[in-house]
Amino acid sequence: MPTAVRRWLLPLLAVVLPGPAVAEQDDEGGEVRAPTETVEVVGQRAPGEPDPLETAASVTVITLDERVRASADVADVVGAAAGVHLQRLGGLGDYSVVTVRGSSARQVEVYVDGVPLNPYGGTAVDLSELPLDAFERVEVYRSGAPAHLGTSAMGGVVNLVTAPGEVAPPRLEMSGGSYWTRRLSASAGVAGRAGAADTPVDLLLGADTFGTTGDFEFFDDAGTPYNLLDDRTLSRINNDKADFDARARLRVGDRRLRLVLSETFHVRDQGLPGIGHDQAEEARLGTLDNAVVTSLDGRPGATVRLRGRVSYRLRQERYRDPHGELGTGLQDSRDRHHAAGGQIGVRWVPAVWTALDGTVELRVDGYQPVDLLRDDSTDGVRTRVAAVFSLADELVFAGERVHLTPVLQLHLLDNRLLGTVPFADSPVAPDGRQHHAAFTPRLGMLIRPAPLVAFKANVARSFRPPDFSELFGDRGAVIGNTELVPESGIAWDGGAHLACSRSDVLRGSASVTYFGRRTRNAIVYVQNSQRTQIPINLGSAELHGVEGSVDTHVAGLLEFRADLTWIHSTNLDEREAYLGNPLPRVPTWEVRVAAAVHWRDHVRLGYELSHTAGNYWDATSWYLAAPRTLHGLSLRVQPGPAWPFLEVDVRNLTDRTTEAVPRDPLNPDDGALVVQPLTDFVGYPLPGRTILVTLGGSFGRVPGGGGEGSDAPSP
Amino acid sequence: MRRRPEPWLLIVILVAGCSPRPPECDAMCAEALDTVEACLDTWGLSWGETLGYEDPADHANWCATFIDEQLELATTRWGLHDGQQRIEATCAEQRLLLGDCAAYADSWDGWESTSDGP
Repeated sequence: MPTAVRRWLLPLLAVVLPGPAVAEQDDEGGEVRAPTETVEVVGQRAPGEPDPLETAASVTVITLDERVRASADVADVVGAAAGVHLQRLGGLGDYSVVTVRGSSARQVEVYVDGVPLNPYGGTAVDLSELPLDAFERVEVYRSGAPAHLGTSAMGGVVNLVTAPGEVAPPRLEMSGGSYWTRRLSASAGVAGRAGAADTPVDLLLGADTFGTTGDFEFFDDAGTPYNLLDDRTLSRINNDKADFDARARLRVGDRRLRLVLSETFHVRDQGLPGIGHDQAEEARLGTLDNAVVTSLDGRPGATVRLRGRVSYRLRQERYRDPHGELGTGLQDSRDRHHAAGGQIGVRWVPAVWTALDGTVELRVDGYQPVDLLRDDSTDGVRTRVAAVFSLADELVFAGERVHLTPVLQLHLLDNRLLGTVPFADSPVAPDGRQHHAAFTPRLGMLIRPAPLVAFKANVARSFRPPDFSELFGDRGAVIGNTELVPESGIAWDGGAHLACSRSDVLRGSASVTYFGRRTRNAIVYVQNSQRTQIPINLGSAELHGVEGSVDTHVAGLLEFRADLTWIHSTNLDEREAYLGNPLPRVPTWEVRVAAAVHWRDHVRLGYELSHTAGNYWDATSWYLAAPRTLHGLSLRVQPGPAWPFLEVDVRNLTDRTTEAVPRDPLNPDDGALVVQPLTDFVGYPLPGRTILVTLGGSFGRVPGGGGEGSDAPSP
Repeated sequence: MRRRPEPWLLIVILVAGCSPRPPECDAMCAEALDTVEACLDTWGLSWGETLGYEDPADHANWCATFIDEQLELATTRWGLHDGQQRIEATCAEQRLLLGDCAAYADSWDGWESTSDGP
């Protein structure tokens, strides 16, 4: 076939031809077709990347390439997706969590290559701890997360995917900028073949360091919003961070049978500045996190794929508040969290119209808080044993135009406290053991009347069991409650996805989704004495909203992406002060726009806009944040493919750090205004203009791999 | 709180709607500091005792913050151009009121109207 014909005809055929009936997802090397399938390539998606036209899930996939500004962190990337709301306690490196479609942060479960970082929402994952350079892709599931993840998260799922394909050439990036922020990232790998069987082997190594003084200036009203004569512009103190990450991954084998060993290590030392008008000078937190994962993936036949995985993670946090600046007293504690898990799964594609997926997962979590100020320093160990059974099917009907994805999931949990129950002498002290069983079915449907048009719908039950503090309390102010039942909810959505083209000249997609969720038995803390509080099932809420997304690429010269989310939430909590109010920290409007202009691959000028409005900070709707619009600008220059690139990023371009809000939010008609600092969380100001300069690039080739990687066909 | 922008970003910031502090207000703050220092001498007091300022730098910090705050309120209420003009005019009026130790504290009361409703 002539070259010109191949260049134009093949992409065209790829657009016009229908996709595969049922494709076996491959995390590393693309898709293995059902027995009767003959189409080789469809679209331009990366290996294992979910295709919005072929999955019923509401999912945003962000590929971490040069389109992502060099100063971005994981929170920036996840927070830019439709339906996602980002909350930061400061600037780069500061505590950052996301919520999805009006959920709480703990109702969002975060995974790295399918391994959960916060199973069952036991904590909210601080995304600032994760080095963006370790990943190649971010998947944000607002509904319809893959069954093999074993999740029933009420909010959504963020799956961070490390390099699934071939080993990339060595790479080095250095950044520096405002507030003495500096970042160094390096990765390298080797690929080759070993043994008599000439088995493909590759090794990937990477490391990142990050540091900042975090001493940005902010507006401080001294906690007296009515008095303007005591206001100051202060610098954040004790907000420094020092971070180091290292990772290694060894892969042996090919698609038929592959063993993967991976190790990630993270250590951080940081100051905890506390709230702006009463900053802590000496409170600090040290974090150590180490995870080892071993997975085995095999294909004993053309229609069967087996997978297994074991993982172990240790996380230790050392918290010191020697002067009681943050808490109610002096604190010096060392908390350890162990998480071990194993999973086996099978995917069977017996016919072109069905693909069955079964997964059994066992998780054991242990949490041991140690109070270093007490003589009897060893507190009880909290443990949770969880078993998850998942069975999913992908059914294809009507000439591949209708896809159904039913999922059945059963969760069995056993929670125990091994030791003395806190507040054991109290009449409301909890038991030392509790069980849960939850059945969380869901159903996704996709109708594709034309190759580039898809209508989707999902409905799912979800739940979040109470965490260790809620069940068993702590030695401070929380009395546990083993009578708690899990938070639960029913979520649904329906929408359309349209792809304009898949050629290189004009590519684009648009989607719009209506969603809703009703939550029951939300766990809230109520005060039951002057010094203690107890969690109870009280809250209920419902919300609905619309999210839309447009993504356009024109001739490699212009990119435009916009995401919009509108949410109407209603608090159904029985307490009069909350009933009928919007849910706190669930903005009514969120708009994200990213546009970029290229000159070939040499120069790239990018602009980003973030707009948030209708965001109440508290359940009584007393604090209403003013509408906020932030701008960002970036310029990237790379003279040629073999040259390093230089990028200048400006975050919060207009240096916006304050906002004028009604002085009395419950009586805004009086027109009186006060100024307050820009913040996602009361008391934790956000930084102003931040400039970062990054120099980096890829160098040379993969030793032993010749750029072909380990997925090259076996002889 | 807004800070004085770097020159190379001035155009961008103005286009984006940010308002730099009027020079008249910087001058007013400098005169207010002179007044306070003179008053402290007159009253036999030192910084950090009664007026609520740790030192001259703290007074300068407060005054700059106060002006930025007033600008934020005025531009929110009356728009960028009118808001800046009103604050600049108020700074000029305030300069006339400075110099009298007895009236120093009261002279700031007039600013409170900026945050009040129409």
